[in-house]
Amino acid sequence: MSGSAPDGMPSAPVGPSGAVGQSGETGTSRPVGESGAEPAWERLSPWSLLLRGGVVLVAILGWLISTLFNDFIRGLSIGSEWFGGAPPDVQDAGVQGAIAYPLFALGLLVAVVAAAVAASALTWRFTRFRITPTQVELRRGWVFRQQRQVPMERVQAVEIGRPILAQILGLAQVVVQSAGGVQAHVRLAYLPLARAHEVRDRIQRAAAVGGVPATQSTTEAAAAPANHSGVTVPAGVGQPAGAMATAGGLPGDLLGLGPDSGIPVLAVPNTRLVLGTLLHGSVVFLLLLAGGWVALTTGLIGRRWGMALAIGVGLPGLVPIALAILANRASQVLNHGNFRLTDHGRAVRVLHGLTNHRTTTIPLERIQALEITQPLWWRPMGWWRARVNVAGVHGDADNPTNETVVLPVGTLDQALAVLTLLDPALRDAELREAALGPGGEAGWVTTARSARWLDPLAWRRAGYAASRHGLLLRSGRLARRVVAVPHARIQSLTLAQGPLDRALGVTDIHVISTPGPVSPRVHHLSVADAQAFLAAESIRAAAARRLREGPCASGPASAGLVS
Amino acid sequence: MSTISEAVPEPGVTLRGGDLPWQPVSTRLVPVRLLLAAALLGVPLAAAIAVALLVTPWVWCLAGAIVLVAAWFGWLVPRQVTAISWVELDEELVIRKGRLWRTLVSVPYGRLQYVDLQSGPLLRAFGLASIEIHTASPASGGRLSGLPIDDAEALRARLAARGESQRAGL
Repeated sequence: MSGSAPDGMPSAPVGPSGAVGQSGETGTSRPVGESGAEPAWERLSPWSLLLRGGVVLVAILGWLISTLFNDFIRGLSIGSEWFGGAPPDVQDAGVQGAIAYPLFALGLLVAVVAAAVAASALTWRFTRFRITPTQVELRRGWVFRQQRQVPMERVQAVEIGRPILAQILGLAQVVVQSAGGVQAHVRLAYLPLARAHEVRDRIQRAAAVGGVPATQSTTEAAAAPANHSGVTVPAGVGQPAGAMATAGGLPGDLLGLGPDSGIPVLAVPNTRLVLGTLLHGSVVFLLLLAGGWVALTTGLIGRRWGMALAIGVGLPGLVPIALAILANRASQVLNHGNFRLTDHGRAVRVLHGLTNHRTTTIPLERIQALEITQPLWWRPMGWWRARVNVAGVHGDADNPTNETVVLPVGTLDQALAVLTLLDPALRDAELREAALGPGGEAGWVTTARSARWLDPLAWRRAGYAASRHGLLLRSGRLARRVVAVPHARIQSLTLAQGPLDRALGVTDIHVISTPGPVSPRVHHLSVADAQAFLAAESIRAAAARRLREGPCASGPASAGLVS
Repeated sequence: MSTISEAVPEPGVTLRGGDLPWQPVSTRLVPVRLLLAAALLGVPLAAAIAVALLVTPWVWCLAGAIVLVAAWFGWLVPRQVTAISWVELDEELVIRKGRLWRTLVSVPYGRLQYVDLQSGPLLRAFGLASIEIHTASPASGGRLSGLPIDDAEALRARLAARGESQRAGL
């Protein structure tokens, strides 16, 4: 708990790997503060004021300069009129005044900048954090004081993020994710990279001792000594089986996020990610639209003029749509770029972000539902996407550290490897059958005969199968989808029946999971099948709930030690 | 994997009817909902009538439409209320709702996070309360309106006790 004392002095040069290194891990080398009980307050990197307040500063400067420059140019042209006796433009009298009194303007500029710098500096001076055995505290502000703390038992994950400016400056932010939601997170922005790691490890160690539910931290704590031992790969951890071949030779220092003690599982090459991201319904739609327009005009009007019309008139009209679609695709690439997944025993860590590098730790026991999908456009390549629902994480766009994608694009083998890693009780063969099976396999309950015409392509596949461990749900024939939900993870079961369903004697099943990208559903089962499912699944889920106090991963504590 | 369709345990939960002791909610919920609907429709109706009298008779059409909607509510609400039923099983609470669009929610006690008991002024005037059960997923929230206050209190206590004894981690 009181493992290593903070370095007391705010701006003291911190050499984590040396100072807090191996000796610090043992918790004996340093006393905890002077009083023995209270760890000292620490400061963020002074550069963080450039990153946090700097944007405002740059904006102000940019605005001032551009305004002044504009009016300087105008002043020149108007000035010639002045000599001709024309009245000055009244509107911009102030700025022209600035032109007229350059010294005054310069002084004002300097004063504004100085005030902004002073304010940022003060803010920085009054921003402190400390890590006590029971909580992480952050104090901010000098006019309006703000104090926020996350109790150790509420710590869900500790992540490191590196926006591009921070990368340039060698900084990183530490985000302490609280069970209280995004609003309750504590963001320590920014710290030197090495110190960020040291702080993260310290918080995780404290959370492992002080907090019961932060189970992934247990692993982290166990692995922590290796983190700072200066060796890139911790001893006793097997080397990846060639999975990192694509990672471009970054053995321990993934993405410049610092040493990662996990076993690399997979990496998604950025070229594949870009290709996979572009192979999307919206892009295909756009291409079809453009192609259709060209074909139409050339067909109707004739080759030369039709082409000219298409290019001159039609295509520019598509530009706004194209931009919107491309922006959307680009955001996907930005978010999932440099994708790596590492195995930490009872958690996996996702390292991602094309420019804004960050990590997301997903404790296995928080995983509620798993899904692999294959959009139609990915079928020629045989690519799949894998996503999960994680309790307490909503995977929303506002908070990109909440990554719930565990494989943005990869082969079926990779997708299944990830799924079986996240939930070892899943069977590769069963998943493969669910993913590729044409339908009609034993054990699957599928669409009712009366409703087949509603789903003419996929009725044979759409359905569910139950194993001892969980439910498998599959749908789609052109674009395929498989969802796995362990019985023990089911929140509740819902049947829904609209008027048409009632006429056909069918009903939909919704297996309710926690909020996330995966929503397990089966459509158009016969009412008898659905009611039988409800009865049987209630029993299975109840038994599973009673059995399992452990994680989604079947093995309890031992799992953390094995891998 | 085993085929499920054969292994049907005894009196199962059914989408309608069934042998389980399904309990209806109080029919006093009907006037409550009708009063709410009346409050909702009353203002536009009054406005429409006023405009029709003062400005143009054409607005009588609108008033007529609102009256039709009100009549439809009068037909719908009793059917809706009588369609709500619930049953407490050993492991879960099951709530059924809806006539045209039927839903059935089966929430295991072990999944209950907390149970809300609400009773606004209108509901209270009719001696009713509503119970809302929350799980880790907002999608599985079951809301049971129109229970007599005493029943609601008792149900809340039972649910809380069962939730406590059967609590399962996430």
